Amino acid sequence: MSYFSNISSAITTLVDGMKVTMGYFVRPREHVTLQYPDEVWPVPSRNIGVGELDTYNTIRSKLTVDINDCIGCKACERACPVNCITIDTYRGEPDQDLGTTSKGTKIKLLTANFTIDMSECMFCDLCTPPCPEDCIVMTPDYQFISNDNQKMDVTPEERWRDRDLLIYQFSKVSEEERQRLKAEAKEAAQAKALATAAKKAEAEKAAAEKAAKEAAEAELQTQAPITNIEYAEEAPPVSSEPESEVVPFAFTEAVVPVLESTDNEETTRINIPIETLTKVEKQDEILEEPQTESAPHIPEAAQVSEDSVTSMEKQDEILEESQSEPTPEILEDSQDAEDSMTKESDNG
Amino acid sequence: MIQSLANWILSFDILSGMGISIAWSLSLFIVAALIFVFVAANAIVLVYIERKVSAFMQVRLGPMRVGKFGTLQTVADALKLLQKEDIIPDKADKILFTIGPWIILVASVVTFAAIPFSDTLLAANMNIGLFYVVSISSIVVLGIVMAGWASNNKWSLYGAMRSAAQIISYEIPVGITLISVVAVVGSLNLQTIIESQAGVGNLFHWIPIPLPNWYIFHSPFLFVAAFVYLIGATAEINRTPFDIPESESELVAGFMTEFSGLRWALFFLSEYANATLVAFLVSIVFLGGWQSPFANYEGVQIGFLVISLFAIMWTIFVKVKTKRLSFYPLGLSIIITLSAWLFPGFAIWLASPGLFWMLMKVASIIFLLMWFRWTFPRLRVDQLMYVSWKVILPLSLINLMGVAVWMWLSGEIQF
Amino acid sequence: MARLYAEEMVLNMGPQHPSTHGVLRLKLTTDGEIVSHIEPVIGYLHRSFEKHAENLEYQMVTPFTGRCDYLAAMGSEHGYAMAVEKMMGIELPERVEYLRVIFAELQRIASHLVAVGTFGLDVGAITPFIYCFRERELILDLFEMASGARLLYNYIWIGGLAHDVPPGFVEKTYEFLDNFEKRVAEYNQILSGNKIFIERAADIGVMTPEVAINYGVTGPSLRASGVNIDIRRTQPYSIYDRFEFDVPLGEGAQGTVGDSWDRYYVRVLEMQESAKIVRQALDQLPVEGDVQAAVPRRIRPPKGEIYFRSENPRGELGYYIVSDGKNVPVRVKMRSPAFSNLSVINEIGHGWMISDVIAILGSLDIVLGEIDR
Repeated sequence: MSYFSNISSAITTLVDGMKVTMGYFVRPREHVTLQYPDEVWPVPSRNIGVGELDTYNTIRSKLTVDINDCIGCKACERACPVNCITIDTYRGEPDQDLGTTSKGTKIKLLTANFTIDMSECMFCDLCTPPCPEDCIVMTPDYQFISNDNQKMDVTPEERWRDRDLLIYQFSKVSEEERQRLKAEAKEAAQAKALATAAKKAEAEKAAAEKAAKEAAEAELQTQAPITNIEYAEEAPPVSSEPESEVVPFAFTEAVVPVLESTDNEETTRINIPIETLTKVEKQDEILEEPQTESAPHIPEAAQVSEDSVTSMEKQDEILEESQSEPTPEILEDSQDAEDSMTKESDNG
Repeated sequence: MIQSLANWILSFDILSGMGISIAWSLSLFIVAALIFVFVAANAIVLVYIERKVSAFMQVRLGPMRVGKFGTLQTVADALKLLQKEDIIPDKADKILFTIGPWIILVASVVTFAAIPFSDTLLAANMNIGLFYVVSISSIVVLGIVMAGWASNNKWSLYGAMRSAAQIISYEIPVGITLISVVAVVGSLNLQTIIESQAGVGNLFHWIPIPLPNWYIFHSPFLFVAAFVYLIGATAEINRTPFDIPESESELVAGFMTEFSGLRWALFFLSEYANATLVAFLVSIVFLGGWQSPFANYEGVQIGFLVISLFAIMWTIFVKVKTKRLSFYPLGLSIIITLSAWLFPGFAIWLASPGLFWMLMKVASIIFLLMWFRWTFPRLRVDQLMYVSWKVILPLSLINLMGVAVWMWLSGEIQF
Repeated sequence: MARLYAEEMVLNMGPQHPSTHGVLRLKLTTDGEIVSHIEPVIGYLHRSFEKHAENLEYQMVTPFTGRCDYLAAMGSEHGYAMAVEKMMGIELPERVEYLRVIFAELQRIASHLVAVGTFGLDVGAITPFIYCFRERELILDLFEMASGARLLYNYIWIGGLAHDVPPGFVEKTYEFLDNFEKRVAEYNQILSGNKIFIERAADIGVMTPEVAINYGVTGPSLRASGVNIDIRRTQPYSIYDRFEFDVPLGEGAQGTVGDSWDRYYVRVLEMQESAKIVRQALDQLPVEGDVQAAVPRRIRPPKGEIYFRSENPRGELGYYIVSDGKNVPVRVKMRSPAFSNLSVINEIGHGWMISDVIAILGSLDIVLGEIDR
């Protein structure tokens, strides 16, 4: 008997299903196809009160920067999880007026190079909230098509370098100026590195001398008092030039990785590995040693390493000077935050 | 038809000196070419129709960009397939790999020689037309198994084995169902089968609703037999819900996996050729072939009037239910009714038998096949076998006996 | 006369396959058509989420959690945010809680639509898949309106939401819900009741409650076997205790309890329940409140560890976070529900035919991104 009920239920349910599809077949005007280049889906837009923009579209697509508003705080660079933003900032000349942003903040640093590698960007939108001037925004332009005919015989290096026009560069200065600043910074860094190397060698030498002197004194004191002491002659002079084996360029790499880049600078991405963030403290130590008079003369304009702008405390200072608003959360010191948190450990 | 074509060729003064045998072979060649062209053109059109039908059932649009409303899409696809690299796997059996798809195609196309397209268009008027069609179309199994085996691919082999089992086990109910119709007609000649369905008669012989004398309305047994044949035929041509051999989501493409380019196009061509063949058989045997559903031109006028009334009621129903006016059924039927009344020539043409009605019926059956494909999930292999042996086969046997009893009761045969 | 060896054949449903829901490799040992052993091989989509999390600050980990289970990204972000908030003891404003529930439940509907549609696709019904995705597009439009992205949101931040929902969102969601009930009835008409579908799915791959619990299966697959465990009910987190909803259990309506049809049907019913929850949440949504009020300036959880579980559309999504006071976690481990759900495939899959194995795999609803992380 279930045999027949199976057959009858099969027939009824199958016919039910067919009714549904036929219902859709006779109403083709209710289709959901969007015939793309001719019909475009409207992008939702709303005002979330970003600066002066009235309707700020919320589709997260290409990043863009209003470079005139950038104060060089590098908050977006630090917020990016995949390190696709690279920013080069330089101290302006002492009398150079770098302008103010649209919110009225005085700009203290010259953002010479703001590179966003869109091929690395994961469109997470973590870079836009920390910006104090709201100058980096995600635009709703979702079309990444380009009309350039790609050359067929590119090498892999060229392909990587050009990356389908996905590297966005913004800059406040022209290209030559940028190269000049960069060269000056490099020189200054090398000079500084030489100076530190020299200082270090001297310090070592002094320490060695001191140790030798102490050892000698200790030896002297352990011996019986001798009346007829012939004082040793002065220690043979140690050459004050740094030894030729010290290669300053090696130091340059380790100490100041931020300002270095390859020659093919204009389209290669500058890599800031995460480890350098921890090295910032070491850099502070190095840089906080007092300058000696024997330091070579560094031109004013290129003096960037005295208080390196990558040190966090320096950033705080700059920002606190330049605005009265509270600093972005990433730069603030941690003591306040820790005190305000309750300490609970849950095992869940 | 070949004879008449040969005579027509010889009737030209220039060609009259040709000799009968040359004229005969020439006309043979022309007819064969025509059939092949029909099958190919049919496949091209059907691919497009299938894509559009499936799209509309799935609330989308289908091909729209190549040609107006996508009509040239199949041409573009065919050109693409022709220029693909012909890859034969290394360990594949080269001979079988090459001839497998051709066997399937040839087996399907050759059967069209016996199919009457209209009362005059028939390539070979055979006494055993139906038997010829059924037996030649079973050679398809050979081609499928060859293709699956020659691919040297376990998945293809699975698909081919399943397909062979499926086709062979559905041959029996299909054959028995066709025999129940032959029992009524008394001849295997397809043209005779169609000619015996002329005229208008009662539904199921006693219920006084005037319907064309088609075998589907002959008795409830033949009514059921028509659907049994349709199910069996869907299984024969490997379409959902019986498309295990080419089940996309399980075996990638079943026995067709390793074939690319032109060979794959051949498989597709043969699938649509088979579908068309099955639709032709259903139309010929159960739906009256090239006979018109209207006996005479007054029947046409009355028939369309009835259809218009139905359309008006449907429009009112839709408006009441959804507050929307649907103009298309109403407008279309009113236009056709008016033209049937105003132009009697149109009505006479509609009432007369011919190629038009044959193609209409074939198109509706093919639409039904597509409707099945896009609505139902697919049956598993053993469930397929269960349906064949335990449901369809007993049903077809019962139909056969029932038809005999019915014919005795209705007086068509005497014992 | 030589002996005829009829051995078992090892078949490889390779990483590239239309039906294995991602890059999953299944080694099937078959005897003819019957499968005697299934061995899943995973790792093709491993992207080192947990290693990345050891180097990123807490708020930067949020986009990565979404990318693990990409079909239910709101659920993953929600679980992570709640885990860190519990560690830090943050109290959230009401509006944030309600909005989070709305997004999580909408995401549950979207994920179940994919599960239902692809299950139909696996057994051969191509059309219901398109219908399911039509509904899903409406949900993704809602998400796009709120967060700016369709699939991977980075919207549920630790301590709140990225930004408030725009005006018009609530109306559009009501509109969606009004149409949704009819659609579910349509799916039932075309697929759930279809005799062929029942033949393909009922009594296939029966998972008894003991087997389910032993293998650590959670979520709708567990509830289809009759076990009434739903983390939203047993250990209510967020504000789920304020809503009335039923927890659908498998009852063996078309076959045995715990077969593939039950697992499929539980998902269909859960979609309806989620729609109910969204409607209640929208009715009770407080109009005022700042969604960014509780976002901490600097996320430095105190030293300690936490394991927090939440109900993902696939099951129990757990986050085990170890912190040592810095702003970068020491360890973030994600307990992915699909991983445990997949482990049961051999137990319930052996002895069935290849087509059934595919149906069983489809009914378990796995996402390889979550399994491989």
